Parts: sequence; structure tokens; C-alpha cells
Amino acid sequence: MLVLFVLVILYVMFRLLGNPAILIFYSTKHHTASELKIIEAELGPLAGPISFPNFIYYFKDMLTFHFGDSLFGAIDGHQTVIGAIDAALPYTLMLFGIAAVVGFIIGLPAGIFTSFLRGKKSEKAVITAATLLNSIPFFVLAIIVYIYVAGYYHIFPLRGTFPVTDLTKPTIAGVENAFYHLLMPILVLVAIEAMGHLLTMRAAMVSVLGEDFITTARAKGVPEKDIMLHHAARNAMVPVSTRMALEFAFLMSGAVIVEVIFTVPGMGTLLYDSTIKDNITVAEGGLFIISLVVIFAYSLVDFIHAWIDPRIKV
Amino acid sequence: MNDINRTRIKYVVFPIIALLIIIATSIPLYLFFHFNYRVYIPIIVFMSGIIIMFIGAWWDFGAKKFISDVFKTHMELNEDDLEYVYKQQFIMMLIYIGIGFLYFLIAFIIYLVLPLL
Amino acid sequence: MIETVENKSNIENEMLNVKNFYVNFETYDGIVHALDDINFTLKNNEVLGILGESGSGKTTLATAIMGLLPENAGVKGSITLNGKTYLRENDFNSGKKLNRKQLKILDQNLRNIRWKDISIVFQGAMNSFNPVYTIGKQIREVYKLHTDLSDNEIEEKLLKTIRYAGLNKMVINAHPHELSGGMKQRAVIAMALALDPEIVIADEPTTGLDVITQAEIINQLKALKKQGKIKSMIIISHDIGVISQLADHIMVLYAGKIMEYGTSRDIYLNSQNPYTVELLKSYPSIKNAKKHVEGIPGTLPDPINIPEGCIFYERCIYHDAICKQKEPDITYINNEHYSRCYFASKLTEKERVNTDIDGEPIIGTEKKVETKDLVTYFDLKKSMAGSLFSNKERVVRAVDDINIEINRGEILGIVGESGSGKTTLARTIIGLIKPTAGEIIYNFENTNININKIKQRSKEYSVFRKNTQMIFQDPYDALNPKMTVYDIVAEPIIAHRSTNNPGEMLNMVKSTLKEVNLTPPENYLERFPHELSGGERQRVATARALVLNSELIVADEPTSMLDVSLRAGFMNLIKNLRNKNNLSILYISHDIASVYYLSDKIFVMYLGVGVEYGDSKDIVNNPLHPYTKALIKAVPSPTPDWNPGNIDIIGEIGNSINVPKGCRFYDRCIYKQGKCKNEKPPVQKTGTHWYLCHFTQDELDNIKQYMK
Repeated sequence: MLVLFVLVILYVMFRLLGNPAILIFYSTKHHTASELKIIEAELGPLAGPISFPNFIYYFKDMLTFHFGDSLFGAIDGHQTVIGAIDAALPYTLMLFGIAAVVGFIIGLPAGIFTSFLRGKKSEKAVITAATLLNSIPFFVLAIIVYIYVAGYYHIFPLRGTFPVTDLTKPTIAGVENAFYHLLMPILVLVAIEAMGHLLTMRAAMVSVLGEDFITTARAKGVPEKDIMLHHAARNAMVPVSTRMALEFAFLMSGAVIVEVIFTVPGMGTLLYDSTIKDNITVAEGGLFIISLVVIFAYSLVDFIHAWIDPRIKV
Repeated sequence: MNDINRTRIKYVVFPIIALLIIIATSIPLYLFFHFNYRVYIPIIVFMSGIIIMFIGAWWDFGAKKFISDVFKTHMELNEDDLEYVYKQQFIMMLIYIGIGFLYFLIAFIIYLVLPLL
Repeated sequence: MIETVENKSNIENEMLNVKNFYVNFETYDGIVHALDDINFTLKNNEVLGILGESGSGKTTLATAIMGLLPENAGVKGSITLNGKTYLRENDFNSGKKLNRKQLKILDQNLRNIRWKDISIVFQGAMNSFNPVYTIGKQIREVYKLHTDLSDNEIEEKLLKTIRYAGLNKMVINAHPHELSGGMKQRAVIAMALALDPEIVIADEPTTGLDVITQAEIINQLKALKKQGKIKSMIIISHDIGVISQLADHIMVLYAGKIMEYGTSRDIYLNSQNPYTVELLKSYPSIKNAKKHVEGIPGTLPDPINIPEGCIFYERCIYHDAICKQKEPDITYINNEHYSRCYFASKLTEKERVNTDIDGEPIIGTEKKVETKDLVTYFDLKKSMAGSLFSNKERVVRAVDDINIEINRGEILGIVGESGSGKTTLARTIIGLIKPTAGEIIYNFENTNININKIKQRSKEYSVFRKNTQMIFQDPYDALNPKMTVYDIVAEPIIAHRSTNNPGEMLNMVKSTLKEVNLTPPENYLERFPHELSGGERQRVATARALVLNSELIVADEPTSMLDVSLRAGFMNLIKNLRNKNNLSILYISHDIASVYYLSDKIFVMYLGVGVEYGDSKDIVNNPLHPYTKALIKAVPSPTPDWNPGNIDIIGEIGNSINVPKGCRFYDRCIYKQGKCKNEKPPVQKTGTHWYLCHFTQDELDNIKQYMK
């Protein structure tokens, strides 16, 4: 359902520009009617004039991933849009997936740990640092990291490009190479993502720790560690997992930006280039695929949610 | 007609009225202004159909409020009742998706039948 | 020689010893003195009651004994269990920080004591269980932590403890939100008894429960004590009735200090401290008939800047010049009884002046309100979502066929457990809920107003609105925090356009504030609700209800959120206002003692129907309906001799959906017979006193004899 909804929005968005074929037509040198016909044919039904059959074709084509050809020649040797996406998607999935999982793995325990430090000076330090990091936009942090780590000290490569086969057909050397190139962008994403989780988790923990049943558990002689991990953490997970869903969209936008800065040839770079060049078909296909990824991640969260809290059923 | 069907019809009334409004309000535009009814209206109706489906899938049809009311009045609510609520919600969702298809049908009809008039 | 032997046996007998114990909390505002010089010993098999109002430090004491004080607490003195001192000065951060290892050892020590030697039943059983785990899992956890039993043995023990607490084993696999309040409280008790601890601390074990459930829990605790399942116990409560039922010795706390300590008999009958005397006087009770009760004016001293001299000085009627200068020491009356007062054992009965009830009530014969077959149902099926999602009847018969009347100048009390529909009845009468059927007829300003026949915009409607006002239960929620007292009280005047003249409005507000004893009114006009105490807020709410000189006031549990010492004062205020202004009042409460104190007539409700009605004296002294009998029997009376025995009722209040076809009380009645199930009971009437039952009193007695 959400997918169809996204399609509607994309259609409205892109069609508000007018007929793409005409736009391109005016940018060519020879304004002849036959030229227009040729362009329309090249674009396929994706970019024909606004009409009902065209709209239906649009749906059919989008849902079957026929995004047509790239407008301005091949991108990295891929003439079709789907080919270009196929080449770029693994990078983004890798970046997004690893950042989401690692951010979660680091952020939650860190949040729980911070709640241990209640009332101490170190807690204030952690919270200040986390708030600062969490509020820095992705591109600022990415640029700073890029300039220092890659630009000044050459610890990591200046260009993030590496063969896609390192990801699709992994060998030990290939994974190593991929890791070497992707580490910096992942770190940037994880830093911001994990700090967000840390803050939410800590806030949730603090409110749960004030509840009566925690005092009861303490009176029962449950060791502090178990109180934190079993009694408090599971209750505190509820708001965190709700936030996770929102975080995915945020993280995806971050991944796109970070890719551009570190020149990783993923979806971000693809989208960026196509938008700059008015490469409408590529932009349309790219946006659609990214939306699909986020929608898929959303639906995973719902399952996690039901497992955490038995009351959620109601 | 029993009670439950009557309620379902009440829920159905809203999207149907929305459909009629979409079709009707643009007729004056078509008659008096330069407006290509056949080009735009089927698309709008089709899109609205998708939105109706979307509403059907995401709206709980007031189930949450109902359950909180049940709790507020100290009534009991066991697993079976919840099952029933889920079932009704599912049926309503199917009905809304059906209405979505009705929108699609109307869109096609407008597109295909209009030139014949 | 003899002396040493005695000493030794004393020490052996000692379970818990708290010595020179102080607790301070460091806050941003300053140091809060929560407990001050606490000394007591708890002997083997003894039950100690700690009595105090909110803010007296009683819960702090319980948490301190468990070693659960928060980190900003500073401790002086020591607590010894069984001859072993486990909590002493500097254990908590009183200036000096402990290193990690010391902390670990302390934590280890405390953890071994917790639950195994001392267990606790916390206030508010609602929140004592972790909502995401089952009850069974949480009790099993206790065994797993402190014993090396195998899973089977644990299971066996678990079943046993659950049964001790009077629960059935279905509870084990239930999540906390699936249990009723009473069941949860029992489960908490089961958990507290799981390891046969030496000491059980019960912190307000019955607060928030219905009277009947409360009596059952008290009975259960008593039985457990008798069986020896509970060895020593500390019971903490603000309710003197609850404590009197269980405690051997009583300690009275006020503002963190022990005011008096003694056997419960000494405390009740021979109290030697002004605070205790006053506190005891402020409880209305069924036994004491309609004897005048007296609140204690004033508030607790500020815990940050405790004044010089006696802490009770400002509220005390016995006070002398010396009380202001130096704090009194403890005076022993006898071996086991001491009091912190200069005048201990010299106290003479002294009545407070100027709070007498003014005048006598004049109860007229004209009816202010009359309901005729009033019915209020909540039908969930009526809403769109409701009819879609309910597979069965979902009608709450909140108010079913109620006929009441209130005369001019009369106070009608409505009693019933929560869920009996009293609040719905009140709201229907005040016009907040539209009745489903039946009529309500008002007589205001000499015009008859029928609520079904008036229109929203008519003149009658505004007369009706002007003359019916309500005082709500929670004074913290009922006042808009963004408005000053003046704005709150003046609001009804503006809404009803009584006057447009600002000077006149100010005068009205001032005189009303004076009437509710907020004097001088000028001090209150510009204050906001958060600057007022609970008692003052309730008075402001009352002023708002009175400012238009309304003829009917509905008070929905107005005292339930107030402290004991303030309740009596508020009830006297209501009585006074009634006598002065000839008001008609509908007073709703679950506390039958306070209803008895205040009202002329009592109406007992159960699941939406009235089961008994009559003069308050008649109802209390000669209850006729089985439900009223149980209700009255369940009220713990503040004398140590009271014994509820069997309260003759089954289970907890049901819901008003699947009500029994015949008598509403059928499921809980011990007298029930075949015909009760399907036939509606008739009204049995003697004079103005009636009750709803198939049987006369003789028949009921016969049934009871027969059962035996």
C-alpha cells in the first residue's frame, strides 16, 4: 500500500514539472516535431504526455522496475536506469545496513550504560557529547572527517570508489578493500545514529527506573546489573524501537549525503548526479528504489515491537 | 439487513461521497472552461483510489478508541474479543481496497466511455 | 546478675534495632531533613505500626531499613538486624565517597538481607510488578536469586505461597495488567512471603483498594501472622484503622520525628502527645456516632528549615512559651510508652475554640432535586466503531432505575465501592451526562425544571446551570494552573453574567473566600494553584462552587485526596456552609464513616442500583441489606478491639455489563437462594428506610442459621 502511495507522490512530483520530453526538446538544438517524437520514444511511456493510459503504463513500468533509459548517455557503462541502480545499490545497502545495525548495537548498550552513571559528572560529559554529535548535520561531520582523515593524514583513501564485485562476489581481499573504503562513511553515520539511540535509551531508562516495580526488584535483592538489563531495559526498549522507524528515513538521507562527500559510487552519488543534470528517469527510479528500502526496514520494526511488549497487542 | 452490515455501509459512505464529489465538482470546469476532462479526471480518480486503499490499510476504524473505551468502563476484553476486533478490521480493510478498485473502474469507464458520448 | 540475664534475653529477642538514625536528602533547595533521631527496636514476633501523614518520613524509614535510599541521601546512626549491624554511618555518602570495592561489599551485604531477611510490600500494588513479565516469573526470580533450589522445588514452593496469599494458581501465568487491584495486592504479599523472611514491611498495603477488599487483605495478613508465616512485621499507614488491626506497638511520626511510641492500647486510650490526640480526634468513625471531629489546622513545617523548638508548636493547642524555644525531650510515661512533649502525662482535655459548627441545619420539606426512574446506560454499540467491533452486548448499566430526592438544606450521602456508579449518578444529576431514560426534576428559584424538557438556550437552563455546582475529587486537577485564585473563583460569575461591575465581582469573590476560611482573602487573590496546599486548593474549588449562591452542590469524594488531619476540617466546613446557607448537598464517598458523619440521609449503591436508603443513623446502626451490612462491617474501626471476623461477602465487585438477571447482588451474596437469580427483588419498606431484597430480616437470619 505504502509503495503505491509513494508512486502516486512521485508521479505528482515529477509531472508537476510538465512533460519531460518537452523539457528536453527545448534544450535540444533542433526544434522540430520529429525530434520530439524521437525523444518521447526514447523515454518510453515513463515520460509521455499526461494522459490516462500513460499513467497506467507508468504504474506498470514502475512496479516491474522498467525505468527506461538514462537521458544523457550511459552512466558507468549502464545505458538503462535499472542497470545503473543495480550497480549503485549494493554500496548504499551496505552502508545503510551496517550503519543501522552497528548504530543500534552501540547506541542501546551505551544508553543503558549512561543510565548507570546517574548523577555523576561523567554522565553530563557523555550527554553533552552525545547531544552535540546528534545535532551536527551529516554533511558537516562528514566533511570534517573527510578533510582530516583523508585529506590531511591520508589514513583512508580520498576516493571511495571500489569495484562493486567486492560486495557482490566477496573474497577476503575484496571485503578488506571494501572495508577500507567504506569505513569512514560508516563511522560518520554510526556516530550520529548511535548518539541518537543513546539519548533516547537513556531518557527511557531514567523514566523506567523511577517506576515502582524497579524499587520492588531492588528490594527483592536483584543485582543492579540484572535490574538494568532485565527489568528496565526491556521496558525502555519500547520508545526506542518506535523511534527506530523514524530513524531509518533519517539515516537513509544521511547515507545519500555521506556517499556524495566520500565519492562512494552508490545511490546517493547517482541521485545527486542525475538531479544536477536533470536526468529525470534516473532520479525517478532511484527515489522509488530508496523508498522501497525504507518501507522494508519499517515493516521489520513492527515485528520487533510486538516481541518487546506483550501489551502492544492491545 | 443486520446491524453490522448497516455499520459497514456507514463506513463506506464517506469514500463514495468523496468519489462523487471528485467527479461532480470538475464537471462545471469541463463545461465552461478549457479543461480536458478525459485526460485529468481518470488520473485523479485513480490516484484517489490508491489513497483510499492506503487509508483502508492504515486506519484502525476507531478500534483503538473502542478498546480504550472498553477499558475505561471496566468491561472485560478477552482474546476472543480481540480476535473479533482484528477480524472486523481486516474485513473493513478489504472493503476499502474493494472501493479502491471501484475508483479504478470508474476511472477506466470515464476514460473509455466519455469519447463515445 | 539478674540484670545481665535480662539484658541478654532482650538482645536475643531483638530482631531489628534502629539507633540514633538520621536521614537527610541533598536537594537544590537545601538539605531536607527527612528523618530525625529515630530509635526503636522490633522484637521477635512483634508487629510495629508506624502512623503518620504524608510528609512524615514513614516511607523513607521503610526504604532506609531495606537499604534502598537514593544516592543523595545522607545517613547517620545505625540499623542492626539480629545483632548484626548492616547499615551504619558513612555507609551512604555522608560526605565521604566510598571506593568501588567497599561499595561492592556493602551492596553484596544488603542484597543478601533484602527479601531473605526483610521483605517489603510497597504502596500501590498496581506498579509493583514489571508489566512485561508474568507474575510467576517475578516470584520465581526471588527463589533463583536467593536459594539453590531446583526448578521443581521452586515450582512447588511457588504454588504453596500463592495459596497462602489466597490466590488460585491461574495467577502464575498472568501478566500484571490482567489482574484486579485486590489480586495484585495478594500477589505482592505472596512474593513478600516467598522466602519466609524474618521481617515483612508493609508500606500502606491497602491504600487505593476498596473497603471490602481492604478488610479482606487485613484479614489475610492477620491469618498469616497467626499461622506464623509472617514472623515480625512493620506496618506503615496513614489510616489508624488499618494499623490498629495489626499492630502491637505503634510509633507516631510527625515531620521525621517520633512523637509518641507505645503499645497500641496506650496510644489509643491513653495518648500522651498533643499530635496523637488531635490526629485520633480527626477520624470520623462509625463507633463514635456523630461525635464532632476536629481537624488540625496548619501544615507540616518546612523540611528544609525546621523551626526552633517543638516541630508541632504552630499547630498545637497546648503550646506554651517554652515549646518555641527548645525542642522537648522524650518523656517516659511507662516502660514501653514515651512521648516527645513537655506536657506528656499532664495533658488535659482541651477543645479548640471557634471551629464549632454554627447553628443547626434547617431541613425543609420542599424537594430541591428529585429523580424518577433515572437510568444512565453507556452503550458502546451506539458509536460507529463500537457497533463494528463488539460481538456482544456492551452496555454499562451505570445508573439503573434510581429514585432519590434531596430536600432543601439536606445532605444526602451516596456510598458504594468503586464501580458502583456513584460518580455517574452525580454527573447525570449535575447535567454533565444525558440520562438514557427517566426524569430529573429540579426546583430552583421556585420554578420546576425538568431536565428532559428544557432547551440549551432557555432561561430555565441557565437557572439550572447556575444552581448546580460540583466539587471534584482531585483538587490538583480541578483548578487551572494558569489562572489565579481570583480568576478561578470569578469565572462562574462571568460565565453566568451575574454582574458586570468589577468592584462587585471582587466583593463577591472576597466574601466567598472568607466563607471557606481562606482568610484574609486578599492574600489569596493573586496566587496560583501550585502555591497552595491540597487543603487550600479544595477550599478554592469549594469557593468556586459557592460563589453564585447555588442551591445544590454535588461533592464527589472531595476529601479522598486530602491528608487525614485536613479531612475533618473540610468536612466541618461543608457542614457549616450547609447550616449557614441552607444548601442541599449530594455527598459521594466510598468511606462510609465520613458519609455517616456528614449526611442526614444515606443511599447505598451497588452496580448501578440503590440497595438501601434511609436516615444515616438507621443505616449505620441497623443495616438491613446484606451489602450494607458487609460494607459497614468492613470499615476498620480505630480501636484495638475491633474484629471484622467474617465480612459475609463473596469476591470483588463485578462489572455492570453482564449483570445478574434477578438481584444485582446475587453473585456476592451469602444468603442467595434460587429465586434471587431470576426474579427482581422487591422493595422492603419500614417508614422512610427501605432496602432491596427478597427476604425480610427474620428470613435472612433463618437462612444464616440454616447455613451454619
